[in-house]
Amino acid sequence: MEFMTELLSYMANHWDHLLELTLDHLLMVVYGILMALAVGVPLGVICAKNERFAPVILSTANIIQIIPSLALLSILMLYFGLGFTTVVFGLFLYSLLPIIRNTYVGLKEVDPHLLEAGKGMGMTPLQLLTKVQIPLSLPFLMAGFRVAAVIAIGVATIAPYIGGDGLGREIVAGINGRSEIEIYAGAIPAALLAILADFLLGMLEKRLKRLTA
Amino acid sequence: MIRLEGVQKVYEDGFKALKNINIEFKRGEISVLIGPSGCGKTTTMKLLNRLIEHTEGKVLIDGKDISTIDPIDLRRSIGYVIQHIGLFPHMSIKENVAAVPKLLKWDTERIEKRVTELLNMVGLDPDTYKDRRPSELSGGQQQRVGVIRALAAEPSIILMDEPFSALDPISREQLQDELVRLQKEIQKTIIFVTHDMDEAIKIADQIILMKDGEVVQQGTPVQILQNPANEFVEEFIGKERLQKYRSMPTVEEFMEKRSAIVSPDMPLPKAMKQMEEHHLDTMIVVDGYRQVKGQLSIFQMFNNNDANKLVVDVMKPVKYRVQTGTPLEDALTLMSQHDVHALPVIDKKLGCLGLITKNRMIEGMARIYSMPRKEGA
Ligand SMILES: Nc1ncnc2c1ncn2[C@@H]1O[C@H](COP(=O)(O)OP(=O)(O)O)[C@@H](O)[C@H]1O
Ligand SMILES: [Mg+2]
Repeated sequence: MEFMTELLSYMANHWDHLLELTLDHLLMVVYGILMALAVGVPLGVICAKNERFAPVILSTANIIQIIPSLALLSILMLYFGLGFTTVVFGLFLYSLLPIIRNTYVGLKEVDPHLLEAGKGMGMTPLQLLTKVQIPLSLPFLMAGFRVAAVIAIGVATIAPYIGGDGLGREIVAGINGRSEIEIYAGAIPAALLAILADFLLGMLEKRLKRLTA
Repeated sequence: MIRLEGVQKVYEDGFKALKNINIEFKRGEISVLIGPSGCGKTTTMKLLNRLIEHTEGKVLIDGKDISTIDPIDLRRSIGYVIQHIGLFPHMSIKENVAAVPKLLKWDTERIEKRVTELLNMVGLDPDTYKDRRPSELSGGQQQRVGVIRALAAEPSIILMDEPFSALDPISREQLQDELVRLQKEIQKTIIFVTHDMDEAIKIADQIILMKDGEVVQQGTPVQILQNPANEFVEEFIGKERLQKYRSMPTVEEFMEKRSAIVSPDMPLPKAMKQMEEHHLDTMIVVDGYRQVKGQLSIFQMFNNNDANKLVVDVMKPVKYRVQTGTPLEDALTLMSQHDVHALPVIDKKLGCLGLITKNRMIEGMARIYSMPRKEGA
């Protein structure tokens, strides 16, 4: 009980610092995921349109996903040096798999009769993709986005080890100073962030599902 | 007009789905492709909008070889209705109907007008339905939208692949009736695939019966029913249906022809005289284009015994009619169901040919059934 009051008063006293860390944290995640979307969606489309490439692209993304996060970030650090960019690049790599895979699966899941109807009425392959396939696979894509966001928020907490910012800074400071309160003050907002992202994006996903059913 | 000349289709796996097909689909007619599952109906239809490419022979539309037409342009100029309806679930009814006009870059005003017109045409109130999603409509309503979506850009050719087979029997009958009614207005060249003989008989101007990638017989429903080409056709039509159409006399045999027809502008006394002369109690009012305008019964004549009136002033609308080739039995059933005692006989091409009345039919049937039978064991 005493611990709780101490933690709360610590968080209340350092709210501006914590908020700043939270925003830094979010910024890295957002950049990482936006990059992953920009690269992952087209790769997913390529997989769906051209089955030959699917195994190559998907297993490459899978291998990246399997590398432990600290290891991956450390390797990246060797090439990109310490700092924000390295973290963002790491988060980008981590978000790729769920986004590519879900884009691919979403496109594959579109009812073939709808494709036939679209093709039969004279849509070009590009029109078929933009007017039918992509809109109908949005719920899948959104699910991939949600998974990617939750993973990235978690992975971003180790950013300080490679020169990044974010809530991890508070946690690392806590570890170094053996301060339980500081560890929690960093971990709780990070966890809340992940839960919130999961919830909000989940709602969005449900709404999209209704619009395409 | 569409012509297939020596068309063959060999699929990538080497399967020969079509063997030397030679057929013609006439302009403004409903041609029905029918046959057992796997006989090549869908393959034949999809050649026409190049969803499938033939491997031998020629497909000509109005004399033009379709392999010289860009498939995208070709498809936009041909309506296409599939069995699974295939409305886009993420688009409103309006957006679905407007799909092809949008591809053709019509302006919004023209699209709006066309969508309204089409929805009205199939009895879906535009204000109620245009912003709904397909999932908010019944199966029958969805396929009505499927049909008008195919009509939207005013193609002269419409392809329909078992469009009503996924519907419940009541909706199916309704949509068949509507298609026949609609076709009178729109006069499209319709290629319709089905495996349901009753459906084919009901809607076809021409039936093309297929088996194992070949055309077995081709003709009007009546021609095929009365002269099945071989055992396969007989079997496909079914003993029962064949019996009915073969043994039963058809409505033409008991039809009053000229004697029962009057024109709308004939003076009443003259019509009355014609009625008396031919011992009729009902006459049919037909205009110069052989279109049925109404009917005239002996009671209406008595009640309006005015020498200055014309037929058109007293005639009553006609609700029911029968096609040529309809068995007498079916006509009688229709009469008793709707409590009418005369029906105009309509030929799909020629228009109204005459009238059958209950009295004459019963007389005629009595004659057939009272014919002396051979004494036997
Ligand atoms: N893509 C394909 N590859 C190989 N065979 C096919 C293909 N599509 C259809 N077929 C075969 O061609 C025949 C005719 O098919 P289809 O035209 O769909 O028949 P129907 O519509 O009369 O039921 C069937 O035996 C079917 O299995
Ligand atoms: Mg078929």
